[in-house]
Amino acid sequence: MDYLSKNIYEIHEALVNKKVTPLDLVKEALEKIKKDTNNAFEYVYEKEALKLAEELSKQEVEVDNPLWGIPFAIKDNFSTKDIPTTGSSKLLEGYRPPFDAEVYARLLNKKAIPIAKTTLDELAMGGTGSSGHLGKTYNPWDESKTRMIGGSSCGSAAACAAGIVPFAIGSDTGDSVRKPASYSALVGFKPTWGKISRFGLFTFAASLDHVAYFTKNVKDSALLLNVLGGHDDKDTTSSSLPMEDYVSEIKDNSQPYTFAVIKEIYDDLKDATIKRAFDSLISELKQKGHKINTVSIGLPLVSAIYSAYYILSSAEATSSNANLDGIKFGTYKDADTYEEMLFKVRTEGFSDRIRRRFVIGSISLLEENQEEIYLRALRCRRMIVETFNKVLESNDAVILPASPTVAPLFGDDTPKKSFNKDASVSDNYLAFANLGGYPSITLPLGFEDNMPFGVNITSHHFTESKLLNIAQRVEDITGLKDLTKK
Amino acid sequence: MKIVSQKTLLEAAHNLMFDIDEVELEVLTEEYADLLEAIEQMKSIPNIDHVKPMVFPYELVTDYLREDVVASCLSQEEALKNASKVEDGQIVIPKVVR
Repeated sequence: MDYLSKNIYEIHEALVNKKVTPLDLVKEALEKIKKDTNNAFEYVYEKEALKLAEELSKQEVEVDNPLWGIPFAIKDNFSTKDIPTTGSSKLLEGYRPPFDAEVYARLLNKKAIPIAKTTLDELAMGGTGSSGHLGKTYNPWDESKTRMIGGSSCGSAAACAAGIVPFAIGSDTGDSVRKPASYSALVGFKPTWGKISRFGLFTFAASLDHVAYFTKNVKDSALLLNVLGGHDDKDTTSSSLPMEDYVSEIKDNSQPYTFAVIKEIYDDLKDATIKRAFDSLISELKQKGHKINTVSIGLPLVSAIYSAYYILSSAEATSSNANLDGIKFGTYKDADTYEEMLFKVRTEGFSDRIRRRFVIGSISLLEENQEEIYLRALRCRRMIVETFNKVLESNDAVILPASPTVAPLFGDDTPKKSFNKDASVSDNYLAFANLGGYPSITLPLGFEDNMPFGVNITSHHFTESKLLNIAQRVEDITGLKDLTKK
Repeated sequence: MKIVSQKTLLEAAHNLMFDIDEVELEVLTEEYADLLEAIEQMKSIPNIDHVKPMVFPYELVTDYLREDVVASCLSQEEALKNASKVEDGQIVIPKVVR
Protein backbone atom coordinates (compact mmCIF):
# COMPACT_ATOMS: atom_id res chain seq x y z
CA MET A 1 0.00 0.00 0.00
CA ASP A 2 1.29 3.47 -0.93
CA TYR A 3 0.61 5.62 2.11
CA LEU A 4 3.22 8.33 1.68
CA SER A 5 1.61 9.72 -1.46
CA LYS A 6 -1.33 10.69 0.72
CA ASN A 7 -1.61 13.93 2.67
CA ILE A 8 -0.75 14.26 6.37
CA TYR A 9 -4.32 13.92 7.65
CA GLU A 10 -4.99 10.81 5.54
CA ILE A 11 -1.82 9.13 6.83
CA HIS A 12 -2.72 10.14 10.37
CA GLU A 13 -6.14 8.55 9.97
CA ALA A 14 -4.51 5.34 8.75
CA LEU A 15 -2.22 5.39 11.80
CA VAL A 16 -5.14 5.98 14.18
CA ASN A 17 -7.13 3.17 12.57
CA LYS A 18 -4.09 0.89 12.87
CA LYS A 19 -3.98 0.23 9.14
CA VAL A 20 -0.32 1.20 9.17
CA THR A 21 2.43 1.76 11.75
CA PRO A 22 5.27 4.32 11.82
CA LEU A 23 7.63 1.44 11.06
CA ASP A 24 5.65 0.57 7.91
CA LEU A 25 5.82 4.22 6.85
CA VAL A 26 9.57 4.45 7.38
CA LYS A 27 10.17 1.20 5.48
CA GLU A 28 8.00 2.52 2.63
CA ALA A 29 9.97 5.80 2.57
CA LEU A 30 13.35 4.03 2.60
CA GLU A 31 12.25 1.69 -0.16
CA LYS A 32 11.11 4.63 -2.28
CA ILE A 33 14.37 6.49 -1.62
CA LYS A 34 16.36 3.48 -2.83
CA LYS A 35 14.40 3.48 -6.09
CA ASP A 36 14.39 7.25 -6.50
CA THR A 37 16.38 8.65 -9.44
CA ASN A 38 15.91 12.37 -8.84
CA ASN A 39 19.09 12.98 -6.82
CA ALA A 40 17.12 14.64 -4.03
CA PHE A 41 18.98 13.46 -0.95
CA GLU A 42 22.10 14.53 0.91
CA TYR A 43 21.67 12.15 3.81
CA VAL A 44 19.17 9.38 4.52
CA TYR A 45 18.27 8.59 8.14
CA GLU A 46 18.18 4.87 7.58
CA LYS A 47 19.18 3.54 11.01
CA GLU A 48 17.93 6.54 12.97
CA ALA A 49 14.47 6.54 11.35
CA LEU A 50 14.01 2.78 11.74
CA LYS A 51 14.97 3.01 15.41
CA LEU A 52 12.60 5.91 16.10
CA ALA A 53 9.81 4.22 14.13
CA GLU A 54 10.26 0.97 16.05
CA GLU A 55 9.95 2.85 19.33
CA LEU A 56 6.87 4.75 18.16
CA SER A 57 5.26 1.60 16.80
CA LYS A 58 5.22 0.20 20.34
CA GLN A 59 3.35 3.27 21.62
CA GLU A 60 -0.24 4.39 21.34
CA VAL A 61 -0.95 6.72 18.42
CA GLU A 62 -1.41 10.30 19.59
CA VAL A 63 -4.83 10.91 18.07
CA ASP A 64 -4.69 14.68 18.62
CA ASN A 65 -1.25 15.00 17.03
CA PRO A 66 -1.51 14.59 13.23
CA LEU A 67 2.29 14.71 12.84
CA TRP A 68 2.88 11.70 15.11
CA GLY A 69 4.84 9.06 13.23
CA ILE A 70 4.79 10.95 9.92
CA PRO A 71 8.06 10.83 7.91
CA PHE A 72 9.36 14.15 6.61
CA ALA A 73 12.38 15.55 4.76
CA ILE A 74 14.29 18.72 5.52
CA LYS A 75 16.54 20.88 3.39
CA ASP A 76 20.22 20.42 4.14
CA ASN A 77 20.70 24.03 5.25
CA PHE A 78 18.93 23.37 8.58
CA SER A 79 21.15 22.39 11.48
CA THR A 80 20.43 18.86 12.70
CA LYS A 81 22.43 17.72 15.71
CA ASP A 82 25.12 15.13 14.85
CA ILE A 83 23.62 14.59 11.38
CA PRO A 84 25.73 15.65 8.35
CA THR A 85 24.65 19.10 7.18
CA THR A 86 26.36 20.51 4.09
CA GLY A 87 24.14 23.21 2.59
CA SER A 88 24.99 21.22 -0.57
CA SER A 89 28.39 22.91 -0.49
CA LYS A 90 31.67 21.09 -0.95
CA LEU A 91 33.08 23.40 1.68
CA LEU A 92 30.85 21.94 4.39
CA GLU A 93 31.23 18.26 3.61
CA GLY A 94 31.56 16.34 6.85
CA TYR A 95 30.09 19.04 9.09
CA ARG A 96 27.83 17.75 11.85
CA PRO A 97 26.11 20.59 13.75
CA PRO A 98 26.18 20.48 17.55
CA PHE A 99 22.56 21.67 17.86
CA ASP A 100 19.14 21.45 16.20
CA ALA A 101 17.36 24.14 14.22
CA GLU A 102 14.20 25.28 16.02
CA VAL A 103 11.81 24.02 13.31
CA TYR A 104 13.48 20.61 13.31
CA ALA A 105 13.32 20.43 17.10
CA ARG A 106 9.60 21.27 17.01
CA LEU A 107 8.95 18.48 14.50
CA LEU A 108 10.93 15.99 16.60
CA ASN A 109 8.96 17.13 19.62
CA LYS A 110 5.77 16.25 17.73
CA LYS A 111 7.29 12.82 17.01
CA ALA A 112 7.40 13.34 13.28
CA ILE A 113 10.17 11.17 11.82
CA PRO A 114 13.03 12.77 9.87
CA ILE A 115 13.79 10.53 6.91
CA ALA A 116 16.23 12.60 4.83
CA LYS A 117 18.23 15.78 4.45
CA THR A 118 17.58 17.11 0.97
CA THR A 119 19.66 18.73 -1.77
CA LEU A 120 19.66 22.44 -2.53
CA ASP A 121 21.37 24.94 -4.76
CA GLU A 122 24.65 25.56 -2.97
CA LEU A 123 23.98 27.46 0.28
CA ALA A 124 20.42 28.17 -0.98
CA MET A 125 21.67 30.62 -3.62
CA GLY A 126 20.11 29.80 -6.97
CA GLY A 127 16.90 28.73 -8.62
CA THR A 128 17.88 25.86 -10.87
CA GLY A 129 18.41 22.98 -8.45
CA SER A 130 21.70 22.24 -10.16
CA SER A 131 24.47 24.09 -8.32
CA GLY A 132 24.84 21.88 -5.25
CA HIS A 133 27.90 19.67 -4.80
CA LEU A 134 25.89 16.58 -5.81
CA GLY A 135 24.83 18.11 -9.14
CA LYS A 136 21.36 18.35 -10.65
CA THR A 137 18.18 17.42 -8.82
CA TYR A 138 15.54 16.26 -11.27
CA ASN A 139 11.83 16.95 -11.50
CA PRO A 140 9.79 13.77 -10.82
CA TRP A 141 7.14 15.02 -13.28
CA ASP A 142 9.68 14.93 -16.13
CA GLU A 143 10.66 11.40 -17.03
CA SER A 144 13.16 12.62 -19.64
CA LYS A 145 15.27 14.17 -16.84
CA THR A 146 15.82 17.31 -18.88
CA ARG A 147 13.73 19.74 -16.83
CA MET A 148 14.62 21.30 -13.51
CA ILE A 149 12.41 21.29 -10.45
CA GLY A 150 13.70 24.72 -9.55
CA GLY A 151 15.56 25.82 -6.49
CA SER A 152 16.92 26.37 -4.19
CA SER A 153 14.77 23.88 -2.23
CA CYS A 154 15.01 21.31 -5.04
CA GLY A 155 15.43 18.12 -3.01
CA SER A 156 12.56 18.89 -0.63
CA ALA A 157 10.26 19.60 -3.59
CA ALA A 158 11.34 16.42 -5.41
CA ALA A 159 10.89 14.25 -2.30
CA CYS A 160 7.39 15.56 -1.69
CA ALA A 161 6.35 15.50 -5.37
CA ALA A 162 7.54 11.90 -5.73
CA GLY A 163 5.41 10.80 -2.77
CA ILE A 164 8.37 9.88 -0.56
CA VAL A 165 7.20 12.23 2.18
CA PRO A 166 3.89 14.04 2.63
CA PHE A 167 5.67 17.26 3.63
CA ALA A 168 9.17 18.70 3.42
CA ILE A 169 10.84 21.71 4.96
CA GLY A 170 12.64 24.29 2.81
CA SER A 171 13.76 27.89 2.95
CA ASP A 172 12.71 30.80 0.76
CA THR A 173 14.92 33.88 0.32
CA GLY A 174 13.73 34.93 -3.17
CA ASP A 175 11.20 32.28 -4.23
CA SER A 176 13.05 29.08 -3.29
CA VAL A 177 9.97 27.19 -2.15
CA ARG A 178 7.19 28.96 -4.02
CA LYS A 179 8.77 28.57 -7.49
CA PRO A 180 9.69 24.85 -7.15
CA ALA A 181 6.15 24.28 -5.83
CA SER A 182 4.84 25.70 -9.10
CA TYR A 183 7.05 23.31 -11.09
CA SER A 184 6.06 20.24 -9.07
CA ALA A 185 2.29 20.51 -8.35
CA LEU A 186 2.78 21.18 -4.65
CA VAL A 187 1.61 23.75 -2.16
CA GLY A 188 4.59 25.92 -1.19
CA PHE A 189 4.05 28.27 1.74
CA LYS A 190 6.20 31.01 3.22
CA PRO A 191 4.56 32.71 6.23
CA THR A 192 5.39 36.30 7.28
CA TRP A 193 9.05 37.11 8.02
CA GLY A 194 9.29 36.60 11.80
CA LYS A 195 6.44 34.11 12.01
CA ILE A 196 8.67 31.01 12.07
CA SER A 197 11.98 30.94 13.94
CA ARG A 198 15.07 30.80 11.76
CA PHE A 199 17.31 29.59 14.58
CA GLY A 200 19.58 26.96 13.08
CA LEU A 201 18.84 27.82 9.45
CA PHE A 202 22.07 28.65 7.59
CA THR A 203 21.91 32.38 6.97
CA PHE A 204 21.91 33.39 3.31
CA ALA A 205 20.45 36.92 3.58
CA ALA A 206 19.01 37.58 7.02
CA SER A 207 16.61 40.33 5.97
CA LEU A 208 15.08 38.09 3.28
CA ASP A 209 15.40 34.51 4.59
CA HIS A 210 12.19 32.69 5.55
CA VAL A 211 11.47 29.16 6.70
CA ALA A 212 8.99 27.71 4.19
CA TYR A 213 7.64 24.27 3.32
CA PHE A 214 5.97 21.99 0.80
CA THR A 215 2.74 20.11 1.43
CA LYS A 216 0.11 18.33 -0.66
CA ASN A 217 -2.74 20.68 0.20
CA VAL A 218 -3.69 23.89 2.01
CA LYS A 219 -4.98 22.23 5.19
CA ASP A 220 -1.64 20.47 5.73
CA SER A 221 0.09 23.84 5.32
CA ALA A 222 -2.14 25.30 8.03
CA LEU A 223 -1.32 22.36 10.30
CA LEU A 224 2.42 22.90 9.90
CA LEU A 225 2.04 26.59 10.69
CA ASN A 226 0.35 25.63 13.96
CA VAL A 227 3.45 23.62 14.88
CA LEU A 228 6.29 25.67 13.40
CA GLY A 229 4.96 29.19 13.95
CA GLY A 230 5.20 31.25 17.10
CA HIS A 231 7.80 33.11 19.08
CA ASP A 232 11.27 31.73 19.75
CA ASP A 233 13.63 33.55 22.13
CA LYS A 234 16.59 32.17 20.20
CA ASP A 235 15.70 34.21 17.09
CA THR A 236 15.72 37.95 17.82
CA THR A 237 13.64 38.62 14.69
CA SER A 238 10.96 36.17 15.84
CA SER A 239 7.58 37.84 16.24
CA SER A 240 5.76 37.88 19.59
CA LEU A 241 2.35 38.33 17.97
CA PRO A 242 -0.17 35.70 19.09
CA MET A 243 -0.72 32.51 17.11
CA GLU A 244 -4.09 31.20 15.96
CA ASP A 245 -5.32 27.71 15.23
CA TYR A 246 -4.84 28.01 11.48
CA VAL A 247 -6.53 24.71 10.70
CA SER A 248 -9.81 25.54 12.41
CA GLU A 249 -9.60 29.11 11.09
CA ILE A 250 -10.09 27.75 7.56
CA LYS A 251 -13.83 28.26 7.31
CA ASP A 252 -16.22 26.83 4.78
CA ASN A 253 -17.89 30.14 4.05
CA SER A 254 -18.65 32.31 1.07
CA GLN A 255 -16.92 35.46 2.31
CA PRO A 256 -15.98 37.54 -0.73
CA TYR A 257 -12.35 38.59 -1.08
CA THR A 258 -10.74 41.32 -3.14
CA PHE A 259 -7.78 40.33 -5.32
CA ALA A 260 -5.21 42.50 -7.06
CA VAL A 261 -3.67 41.37 -10.34
CA ILE A 262 -0.51 43.37 -11.06
CA LYS A 263 -0.94 44.54 -14.64
CA GLU A 264 2.75 44.69 -15.61
CA ILE A 265 3.34 41.10 -14.47
CA TYR A 266 0.16 39.75 -16.06
CA ASP A 267 0.98 41.54 -19.34
CA ASP A 268 4.38 39.84 -19.41
CA LEU A 269 2.82 36.35 -19.57
CA LYS A 270 3.39 34.66 -22.90
CA ASP A 271 2.45 31.02 -22.35
CA ALA A 272 -1.12 30.69 -23.69
CA THR A 273 -1.97 27.64 -21.55
CA ILE A 274 -0.87 29.29 -18.31
CA LYS A 275 -2.62 32.54 -19.20
CA ARG A 276 -5.81 30.68 -20.08
CA ALA A 277 -5.75 28.70 -16.82
CA PHE A 278 -5.17 31.88 -14.81
CA ASP A 279 -7.94 33.75 -16.66
CA SER A 280 -10.27 30.85 -16.03
CA LEU A 281 -9.48 30.91 -12.31
CA ILE A 282 -10.10 34.66 -12.22
CA SER A 283 -13.48 34.16 -13.97
CA GLU A 284 -14.48 31.52 -11.44
CA LEU A 285 -13.46 33.73 -8.54
CA LYS A 286 -15.61 36.52 -9.97
CA GLN A 287 -18.54 34.14 -10.42
CA LYS A 288 -18.28 33.21 -6.77
CA GLY A 289 -18.58 36.86 -5.77
CA HIS A 290 -14.96 37.78 -5.30
CA LYS A 291 -13.70 41.08 -6.66
CA ILE A 292 -10.71 41.39 -8.98
CA ASN A 293 -8.81 44.66 -9.40
CA THR A 294 -6.16 45.09 -12.06
CA VAL A 295 -3.51 47.31 -10.49
CA SER A 296 -0.69 49.07 -12.33
CA ILE A 297 2.38 49.92 -10.26
CA GLY A 298 4.71 50.87 -13.14
CA LEU A 299 7.15 48.73 -15.07
CA PRO A 300 10.32 50.35 -13.61
CA LEU A 301 9.26 49.36 -10.09
CA VAL A 302 8.25 45.83 -11.11
CA SER A 303 11.53 45.37 -12.99
CA ALA A 304 13.46 46.58 -9.96
CA ILE A 305 12.13 43.77 -7.72
CA TYR A 306 14.67 41.30 -9.06
CA SER A 307 17.61 43.68 -9.22
CA ALA A 308 17.03 45.03 -5.69
CA TYR A 309 16.66 41.48 -4.44
CA TYR A 310 19.83 40.36 -6.19
CA ILE A 311 21.97 43.22 -4.89
CA LEU A 312 20.70 43.01 -1.31
CA SER A 313 20.83 39.23 -1.07
CA SER A 314 24.36 39.15 -2.53
CA ALA A 315 25.59 41.86 -0.16
CA GLU A 316 24.14 40.07 2.85
CA ALA A 317 25.40 36.69 1.66
CA THR A 318 28.96 37.97 1.32
CA SER A 319 28.93 38.97 4.94
CA SER A 320 26.99 36.04 6.40
CA ASN A 321 29.22 33.44 4.74
CA ALA A 322 32.53 35.04 5.72
CA ASN A 323 32.81 32.46 8.51
CA LEU A 324 33.19 29.60 6.03
CA ASP A 325 36.94 29.08 6.25
CA GLY A 326 37.32 25.35 6.93
CA ILE A 327 38.95 26.01 10.29
CA LYS A 328 36.25 25.52 12.92
CA PHE A 329 34.14 23.30 10.67
CA GLY A 330 34.00 22.29 7.05
CA THR A 331 36.67 21.11 4.67
CA TYR A 332 40.18 22.05 5.79
CA LYS A 333 43.06 22.27 3.28
CA ASP A 334 46.70 22.03 4.24
CA ALA A 335 48.96 24.88 3.16
CA ASP A 336 52.16 26.64 4.17
CA THR A 337 50.55 29.92 5.12
CA TYR A 338 47.25 31.00 6.66
CA GLU A 339 46.32 33.04 3.56
CA GLU A 340 47.15 30.17 1.23
CA MET A 341 45.02 27.84 3.32
CA LEU A 342 42.00 30.20 3.19
CA PHE A 343 42.40 30.66 -0.58
CA LYS A 344 42.47 26.89 -1.10
CA VAL A 345 39.46 26.26 1.13
CA ARG A 346 37.29 28.98 -0.38
CA THR A 347 38.37 28.58 -4.02
CA GLU A 348 37.91 24.82 -4.05
CA GLY A 349 35.00 24.80 -1.61
CA PHE A 350 32.63 27.23 -3.35
CA SER A 351 31.24 26.79 -6.86
CA ASP A 352 31.80 29.56 -9.41
CA ARG A 353 28.24 30.87 -8.99
CA ILE A 354 28.72 31.43 -5.28
CA ARG A 355 32.07 33.13 -5.78
CA ARG A 356 30.64 35.49 -8.40
CA ARG A 357 27.74 36.32 -6.14
CA PHE A 358 30.06 37.14 -3.26
CA VAL A 359 32.14 39.45 -5.49
CA ILE A 360 29.01 41.32 -6.58
CA GLY A 361 27.88 41.63 -2.97
CA SER A 362 31.28 42.83 -1.89
CA ILE A 363 31.60 45.42 -4.68
CA SER A 364 28.14 46.78 -3.79
CA LEU A 365 29.31 47.37 -0.25
CA LEU A 366 32.56 49.17 -1.09
CA GLU A 367 32.50 52.69 0.31
CA GLU A 368 32.79 54.26 -3.14
CA ASN A 369 29.82 52.20 -4.46
CA GLN A 370 27.53 52.09 -1.45
CA GLU A 371 25.40 55.11 -2.36
CA GLU A 372 25.06 54.15 -6.02
CA ILE A 373 24.43 50.45 -5.55
CA TYR A 374 23.67 49.14 -2.08
CA LEU A 375 21.81 52.14 -0.67
CA ARG A 376 19.91 52.66 -3.92
CA ALA A 377 18.77 49.03 -3.72
CA LEU A 378 17.65 49.64 -0.12
CA ARG A 379 15.74 52.76 -1.21
CA CYS A 380 14.24 50.74 -4.00
CA ARG A 381 13.20 48.14 -1.45
CA ARG A 382 11.25 50.81 0.45
CA MET A 383 9.52 51.97 -2.74
CA ILE A 384 8.56 48.39 -3.63
CA VAL A 385 7.37 47.53 -0.11
CA GLU A 386 5.43 50.75 0.42
CA THR A 387 3.75 50.27 -2.96
CA PHE A 388 2.74 46.68 -2.17
CA ASN A 389 1.65 47.71 1.33
CA LYS A 390 -0.82 50.10 -0.30
CA VAL A 391 -1.98 47.41 -2.74
CA LEU A 392 -2.52 45.00 0.16
CA GLU A 393 -4.31 47.62 2.25
CA SER A 394 -7.00 48.00 -0.43
CA ASN A 395 -7.02 44.35 -1.54
CA ASP A 396 -7.02 41.12 0.46
CA ALA A 397 -4.33 39.55 -1.68
CA VAL A 398 -2.22 39.78 -4.81
CA ILE A 399 -2.86 36.86 -7.17
CA LEU A 400 -0.72 35.93 -10.18
CA PRO A 401 0.70 32.85 -11.91
CA ALA A 402 3.65 31.63 -9.81
CA SER A 403 5.76 31.11 -12.92
CA PRO A 404 5.31 32.14 -16.55
CA THR A 405 6.32 28.68 -17.82
CA VAL A 406 6.39 25.07 -16.72
CA ALA A 407 9.73 23.81 -15.36
CA PRO A 408 12.52 25.04 -17.66
CA LEU A 409 15.08 22.82 -19.37
CA PHE A 410 18.50 22.57 -17.69
CA GLY A 411 20.59 23.66 -20.68
CA ASP A 412 24.31 22.97 -20.92
CA ASP A 413 26.79 23.20 -18.05
CA THR A 414 28.88 26.16 -19.21
CA PRO A 415 29.06 29.02 -16.67
CA LYS A 416 26.19 31.42 -17.19
CA LYS A 417 25.18 34.74 -15.73
CA SER A 418 23.10 34.37 -12.57
CA PHE A 419 21.82 37.92 -13.00
CA ASN A 420 20.42 38.98 -16.35
CA LYS A 421 19.11 42.49 -16.98
CA ASP A 422 16.63 41.11 -19.54
CA ALA A 423 15.08 38.60 -17.11
CA SER A 424 11.30 38.54 -17.45
CA VAL A 425 9.30 40.28 -14.73
CA SER A 426 6.75 37.46 -14.56
CA ASP A 427 9.57 35.01 -13.83
CA ASN A 428 11.23 37.07 -11.11
CA TYR A 429 8.56 38.97 -9.23
CA LEU A 430 8.01 36.55 -6.31
CA ALA A 431 10.89 38.15 -4.40
CA PHE A 432 8.61 41.12 -3.62
CA ALA A 433 7.21 38.95 -0.83
CA ASN A 434 10.74 38.52 0.56
CA LEU A 435 11.60 42.22 0.28
CA GLY A 436 8.34 42.94 2.13
CA GLY A 437 8.26 39.82 4.31
CA TYR A 438 4.65 39.04 3.29
CA PRO A 439 3.02 35.64 3.71
CA SER A 440 2.87 34.03 0.29
CA ILE A 441 1.61 30.69 -0.99
CA THR A 442 1.84 28.81 -4.29
CA LEU A 443 -0.82 26.25 -5.27
CA PRO A 444 -1.18 23.97 -8.31
CA LEU A 445 -3.08 25.68 -11.14
CA GLY A 446 -2.81 23.34 -14.13
CA PHE A 447 -0.72 21.18 -16.45
CA GLU A 448 0.85 21.73 -19.84
CA ASP A 449 2.16 18.61 -21.61
CA ASN A 450 1.95 16.78 -18.27
CA MET A 451 4.15 19.37 -16.55
CA PRO A 452 2.55 21.35 -13.70
CA PHE A 453 2.36 25.08 -13.12
CA GLY A 454 1.03 27.06 -10.17
CA VAL A 455 -0.69 30.19 -8.94
CA ASN A 456 0.71 32.43 -6.21
CA ILE A 457 -1.26 34.38 -3.64
CA THR A 458 0.29 36.92 -1.25
CA SER A 459 -1.37 38.89 1.54
CA HIS A 460 -0.40 41.53 4.12
CA HIS A 461 1.90 40.90 7.08
CA PHE A 462 0.63 38.41 9.66
CA THR A 463 -2.63 37.68 7.82
CA GLU A 464 -1.89 33.97 7.46
CA SER A 465 -5.37 33.01 8.57
CA LYS A 466 -6.94 35.05 5.77
CA LEU A 467 -4.37 33.87 3.24
CA LEU A 468 -4.98 30.20 4.03
CA ASN A 469 -8.73 30.78 3.72
CA ILE A 470 -8.23 32.39 0.33
CA ALA A 471 -5.91 29.55 -0.72
CA GLN A 472 -8.55 27.04 0.33
CA ARG A 473 -11.12 28.81 -1.87
CA VAL A 474 -8.70 28.63 -4.81
CA GLU A 475 -7.89 24.96 -4.13
CA ASP A 476 -11.63 24.22 -4.06
CA ILE A 477 -12.00 25.84 -7.48
CA THR A 478 -9.05 24.15 -9.18
CA GLY A 479 -9.62 20.80 -7.46
CA LEU A 480 -5.85 20.31 -7.72
CA LYS A 481 -4.56 18.89 -4.45
CA ASP A 482 -2.84 15.79 -3.07
CA LEU A 483 -0.93 15.39 -6.34
CA THR A 484 1.96 12.95 -6.62
CA LYS A 485 3.96 11.86 -9.62
CA LYS A 486 3.93 8.08 -9.52
CA MET B 1 27.93 55.33 -12.89
CA LYS B 2 31.56 54.33 -13.05
CA ILE B 3 32.50 51.14 -14.83
CA VAL B 4 34.28 48.62 -12.66
CA SER B 5 37.31 47.03 -14.29
CA GLN B 6 38.14 43.33 -14.31
CA LYS B 7 41.10 44.22 -12.11
CA THR B 8 38.73 45.58 -9.47
CA LEU B 9 36.54 42.48 -9.66
CA LEU B 10 39.57 40.24 -9.29
CA GLU B 11 40.84 42.29 -6.34
CA ALA B 12 37.44 41.95 -4.68
CA ALA B 13 37.63 38.17 -5.15
CA HIS B 14 41.09 38.09 -3.60
CA ASN B 15 39.94 40.23 -0.68
CA LEU B 16 37.22 37.62 -0.15
CA MET B 17 40.02 35.02 0.00
CA PHE B 18 39.29 33.07 -3.17
CA ASP B 19 40.41 33.03 -6.77
CA ILE B 20 38.34 33.10 -9.96
CA ASP B 21 39.56 31.88 -13.33
CA GLU B 22 39.41 33.70 -16.66
CA VAL B 23 36.13 32.13 -17.79
CA GLU B 24 34.44 33.02 -14.51
CA LEU B 25 35.85 36.53 -14.71
CA GLU B 26 34.32 37.01 -18.16
CA VAL B 27 30.92 35.85 -16.93
CA LEU B 28 31.25 37.99 -13.81
CA THR B 29 32.10 41.04 -15.88
CA GLU B 30 29.00 40.58 -18.05
CA GLU B 31 26.87 39.90 -15.00
CA TYR B 32 28.16 43.00 -13.28
CA ALA B 33 27.57 45.15 -16.38
CA ASP B 34 23.96 43.90 -16.41
CA LEU B 35 23.58 44.81 -12.77
CA LEU B 36 24.94 48.32 -13.32
CA GLU B 37 22.41 48.78 -16.11
CA ALA B 38 19.61 47.58 -13.83
CA ILE B 39 20.75 50.12 -11.24
CA GLU B 40 20.63 52.87 -13.84
CA GLN B 41 17.06 51.83 -14.60
CA MET B 42 16.18 52.14 -10.92
CA LYS B 43 16.80 55.88 -11.25
CA SER B 44 13.66 56.14 -13.38
CA ILE B 45 11.51 55.20 -10.37
CA PRO B 46 9.99 58.51 -9.27
CA ASN B 47 11.39 59.86 -5.99
CA ILE B 48 13.75 56.93 -5.46
CA ASP B 49 16.64 59.02 -4.18
CA HIS B 50 14.45 60.81 -1.65
CA VAL B 51 13.24 57.90 0.46
CA LYS B 52 14.99 56.31 3.41
CA PRO B 53 16.81 53.04 2.81
CA MET B 54 14.83 50.04 4.10
CA VAL B 55 16.91 47.32 5.70
CA PHE B 56 14.20 45.01 7.07
CA PRO B 57 10.85 44.01 5.53
CA TYR B 58 8.85 46.02 8.05
CA GLU B 59 9.56 48.22 11.03
CA LEU B 60 10.88 45.65 13.43
CA VAL B 61 9.83 46.05 17.01
CA THR B 62 11.79 43.97 19.49
CA ASP B 63 9.45 44.06 22.43
CA TYR B 64 11.07 41.56 24.73
CA LEU B 65 14.33 41.06 26.57
CA ARG B 66 15.71 37.68 27.38
CA GLU B 67 15.92 36.82 31.07
CA ASP B 68 19.38 37.43 32.51
CA VAL B 69 20.01 33.82 33.41
CA VAL B 70 22.92 31.49 32.88
CA ALA B 71 22.26 29.34 29.82
CA SER B 72 24.05 26.32 28.50
CA CYS B 73 26.59 26.72 25.74
CA LEU B 74 28.78 24.35 23.76
CA SER B 75 31.36 22.34 25.67
CA GLN B 76 34.96 22.51 24.48
CA GLU B 77 34.61 19.00 23.11
CA GLU B 78 31.48 19.93 21.11
CA ALA B 79 33.07 23.15 19.84
CA LEU B 80 36.14 21.31 18.57
CA LYS B 81 34.33 18.29 17.16
CA ASN B 82 34.11 19.68 13.62
CA ALA B 83 37.63 21.08 13.40
CA SER B 84 40.00 19.03 11.23
CA LYS B 85 43.18 19.55 13.24
CA VAL B 86 43.07 19.75 17.02
CA GLU B 87 45.95 19.57 19.49
CA ASP B 88 45.77 20.05 23.25
CA GLY B 89 42.23 21.38 23.02
CA GLN B 90 43.12 23.97 20.37
CA ILE B 91 42.62 24.21 16.61
CA VAL B 92 45.80 24.02 14.56
CA ILE B 93 46.25 26.32 11.56
CA PRO B 94 49.37 27.34 9.59
CA LYS B 95 51.64 29.81 11.38
CA VAL B 96 50.42 33.40 11.03
CA VAL B 97 53.59 35.06 12.36
CA ARG B 98 56.88 33.68 11.09
